[in-house]
Amino acid sequence: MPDSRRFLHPEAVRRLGRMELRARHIVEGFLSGMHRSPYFGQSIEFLQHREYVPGDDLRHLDWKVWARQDRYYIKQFEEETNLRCTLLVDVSNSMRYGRGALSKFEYACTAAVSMAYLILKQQDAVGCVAFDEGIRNAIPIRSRRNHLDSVIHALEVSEPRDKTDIFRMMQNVAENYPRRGMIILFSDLFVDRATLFKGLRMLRQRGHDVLIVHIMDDDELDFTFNGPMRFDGMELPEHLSCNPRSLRDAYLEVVGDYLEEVRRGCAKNTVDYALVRTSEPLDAALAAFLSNRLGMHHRN
Amino acid sequence: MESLFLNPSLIFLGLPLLALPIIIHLINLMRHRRIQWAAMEFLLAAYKKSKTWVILKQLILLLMRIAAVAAIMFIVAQPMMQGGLDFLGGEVTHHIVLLDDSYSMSDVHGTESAYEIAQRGVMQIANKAATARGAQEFTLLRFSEAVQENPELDTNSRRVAADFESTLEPVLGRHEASQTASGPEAALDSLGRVLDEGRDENRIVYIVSDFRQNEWESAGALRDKINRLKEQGVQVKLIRVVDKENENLTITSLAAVPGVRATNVPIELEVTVKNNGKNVKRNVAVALTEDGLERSGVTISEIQPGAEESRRFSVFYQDTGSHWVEARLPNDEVHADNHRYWAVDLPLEISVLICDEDPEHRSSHYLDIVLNARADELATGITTRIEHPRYLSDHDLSSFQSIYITNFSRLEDAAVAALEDYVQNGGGVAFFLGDDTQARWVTENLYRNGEGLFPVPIASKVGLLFDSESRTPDLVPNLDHPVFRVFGISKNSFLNKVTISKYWALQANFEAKDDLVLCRLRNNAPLVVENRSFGSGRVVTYLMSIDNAPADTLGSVDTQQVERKSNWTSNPSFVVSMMMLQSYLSKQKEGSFEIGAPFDVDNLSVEQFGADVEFARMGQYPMTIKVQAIETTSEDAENTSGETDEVDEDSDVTPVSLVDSGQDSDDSTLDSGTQNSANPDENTKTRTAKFEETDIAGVYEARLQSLGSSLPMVRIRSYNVDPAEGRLAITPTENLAASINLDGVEILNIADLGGGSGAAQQSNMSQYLLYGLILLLIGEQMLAYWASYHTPIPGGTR
Repeated sequence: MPDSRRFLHPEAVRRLGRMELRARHIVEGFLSGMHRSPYFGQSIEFLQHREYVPGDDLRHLDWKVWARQDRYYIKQFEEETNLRCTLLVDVSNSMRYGRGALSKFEYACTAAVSMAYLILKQQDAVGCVAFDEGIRNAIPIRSRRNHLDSVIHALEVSEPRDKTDIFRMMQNVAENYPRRGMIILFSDLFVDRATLFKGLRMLRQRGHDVLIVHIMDDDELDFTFNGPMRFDGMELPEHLSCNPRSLRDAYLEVVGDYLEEVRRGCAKNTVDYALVRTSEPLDAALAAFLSNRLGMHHRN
Repeated sequence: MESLFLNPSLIFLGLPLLALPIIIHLINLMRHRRIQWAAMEFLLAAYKKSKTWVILKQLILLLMRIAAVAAIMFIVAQPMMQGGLDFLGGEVTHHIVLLDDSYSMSDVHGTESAYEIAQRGVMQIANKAATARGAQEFTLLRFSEAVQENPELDTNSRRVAADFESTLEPVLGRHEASQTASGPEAALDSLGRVLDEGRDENRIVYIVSDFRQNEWESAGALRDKINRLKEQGVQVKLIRVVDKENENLTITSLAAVPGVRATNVPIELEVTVKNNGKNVKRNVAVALTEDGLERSGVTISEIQPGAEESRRFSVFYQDTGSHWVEARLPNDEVHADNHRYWAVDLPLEISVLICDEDPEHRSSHYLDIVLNARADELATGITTRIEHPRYLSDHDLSSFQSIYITNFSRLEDAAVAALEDYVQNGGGVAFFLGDDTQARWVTENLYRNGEGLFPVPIASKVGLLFDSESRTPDLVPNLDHPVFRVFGISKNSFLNKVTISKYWALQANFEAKDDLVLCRLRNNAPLVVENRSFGSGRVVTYLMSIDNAPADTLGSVDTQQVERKSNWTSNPSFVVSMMMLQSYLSKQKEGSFEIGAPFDVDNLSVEQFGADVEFARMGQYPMTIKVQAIETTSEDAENTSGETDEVDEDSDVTPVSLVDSGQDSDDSTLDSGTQNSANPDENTKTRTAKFEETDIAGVYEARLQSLGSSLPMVRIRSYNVDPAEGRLAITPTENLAASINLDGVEILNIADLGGGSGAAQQSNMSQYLLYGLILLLIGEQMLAYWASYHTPIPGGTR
């Protein structure tokens, strides 16, 4: 049996267990649960009143309010649906990098498994795709409790290698998972930004709610190297011998531009985005992300 | 800028070390850590973006490290550089050397004169300046040059370079100690004229001198001048050249004893020698030369330290014209004051005018007899002319050596004016009052409240009471005065036999000053009085008559004496007294000039003299030089007075200067008998010449080309050194400091200046290099930090 605990830190799971995973956009699903339907209608949980406008269904008119105040108000309810969540985990060679407790790959797998565990615990369905230039392993979406093992296995056998071809992967996902749902991408996004945004746009057009967990190492974000070093590219064939501190400012500027470009691209495509450092506690990163998701949903 | 290293071999040993930073740089490149890097895209983009700056900073850093190694290498090798960092500019330090070249500086100490020692000192000052930091300038001014109207600096603000020694040496070598007595005051005064006051520079004034007592012992004026320099921020240093004084004898005077100077008349000269040493000098032999020919000298048996002794000797010339005498002491440490010269232009005879109203010449008769002795064996060299006082009004008086006015009642106004003009120009006048002299007129017109010729206001003629009990003679002369001094020397008893019965009393409220009274009566009333305050001439007034006529009976008791107003004209002392008076009144034209004064020859009529004038110096350093006189009219002279003109360069002459031809010539002895020469027409053409190189003692002759004669006409002058400079006593340093009485004035001996050759004066540049290295290392560290080669602050980075 695979060591599932390696990706399920009990503390993280415990803290995630206290949180509600709330997707921003509700994909198709019928199963009752904690997740809100993308459509307002009858449901268990009353959401809010709003003034009646011509064209509204009279079935939703709150007659009690009309009787008391002689005003027309429509009752709105949250509709709970089934969540179909697909976890996309980048297992390209660049994900191997990490000088801390966890490499980016380990961090991504841990986060993905935790997310799957949480989803399955909420009776929702989860699938998983490990990809680099192509799809290395794909686990279909299931809501069985033991489906978590499949997810873990799929990630465990996916040793990082090769480059990332994210558009191709997204194209496959779009074709293989035609039903609308949530897609959570765990990656360092060392990809061509144009193809990334193109892929995200495509997923969004298919009705998927996309979340990106951008995982980067502290070194990559802070570039705090000292002394003469030779950098060998993990996905690129180039190498560079330099004094890293002399390049730090320029590097940080380039990385800053890159992150800004990614943020802008995600925002443009209404894709949720969170940058997570591998040094950050896993639960804290996920909690911050989920909290962000919830806030966005309420704003909608 | 010449440089070398104290340890040049270390340079070659250290050269390979220059490669050390490059090697370290290469090693660092090789020993880098390898790392697999995911975000290579960003790193490559960053490298591409900052590649130029990174490489540039690395290159600069590498060069700085190489420079630091080179600096360390040079510091160890100790580079020497002549002149230090002068080439960088900075504030200018101006060394102004005032060099004493008076003749006391010719004082020999061992094998060197004080002046030669001073020259060495000047070279040492220049050498020190050459090795000092910052820009240095050097100005040299000799004392003798400073007294000139437009002094020329030997070096004027010359920039001191490393080879300045070779520049200064020939400049100093051109001169030796002069024969002047120029002091430091003129040199300090001339600083303001020769230096640009507007310049912003540090000034150091060095006074290089022997600091003799005659100039520095009580230096009040000098103190003020130095104080002014100090107030202007000028640093003053007194450089003492000698610290001990030598024995020295000085001929302080060679002059004619008052008397008539004419041919066939013995002329008595007096030579005075001063002992400026500390020991008694015995048997001092003074050699004598007459007109260049040796003659018997005089010997002074003993001269006490600091004392003067005089000896007299006579010269006798049968020929008219110029004659000269040189007195010479044996050589001692100072040569210039061992020679002294006297020169005279002897006329055949001199003219004396006697004015007498009495047609019988009862007064002038005695004067004529005394002054104009006809016998050959008693030649006085004087010709007399007896005229009525009216003669004074309408005749030129300048040809007369002296004028005697006797027995007059009053004079015409024109006569008074002519007499005043005559005395103003150096003439001598003697008044002998007569019975008819109008006292009131004399007081109002000749005395004029002290502004006229007459020395005293007179009241009336009074008689001198006879006193048989008194042993005091009637005449009580002032034996210190030249006119009566002879009676003190010879103890002549004839003067005691002179009796005076009538004299002119002064006004009751007037008291004659003692020093102006040449002779008094036994009742203390002035009898002979002098006026010294009217022009450059002399006026002597006898308040008595010499007509020898019987006096009136007023106040006279002795019947034998009553018959005459005075018996003085019958007394032999009258002859002596009048001869002395004549000598005293005579124009003193053979006077000695101090060296440096120009020899002017002007008012040369073009009809009488040619253009060529030959100036000759006789004596110790004879020379001859021909100059060409400038022809000018009186109008031209007015317009061109003071201008300088060059004569034809092809001719063998020196430039001469125009002088105002309207000025009166002081060579009137040459004009004897030419009464119209003083009043040339306005457009009369004259020639004038000036000879200025009279800076060496001797007898100078101006030989004028006389057109009417084959023989040149000669004008002669003697030029002598200032005898005071022969006093060699030096001012001790403590007295010098006390007399200067100024803080901050440095007094140094010549030995304190130090010396050394140019090589030894080079600056060790190690200190500068050390400063440079420190700056370089600070810069290297800053650049290294900027180029991110330093470990960052702990905690901030990994």
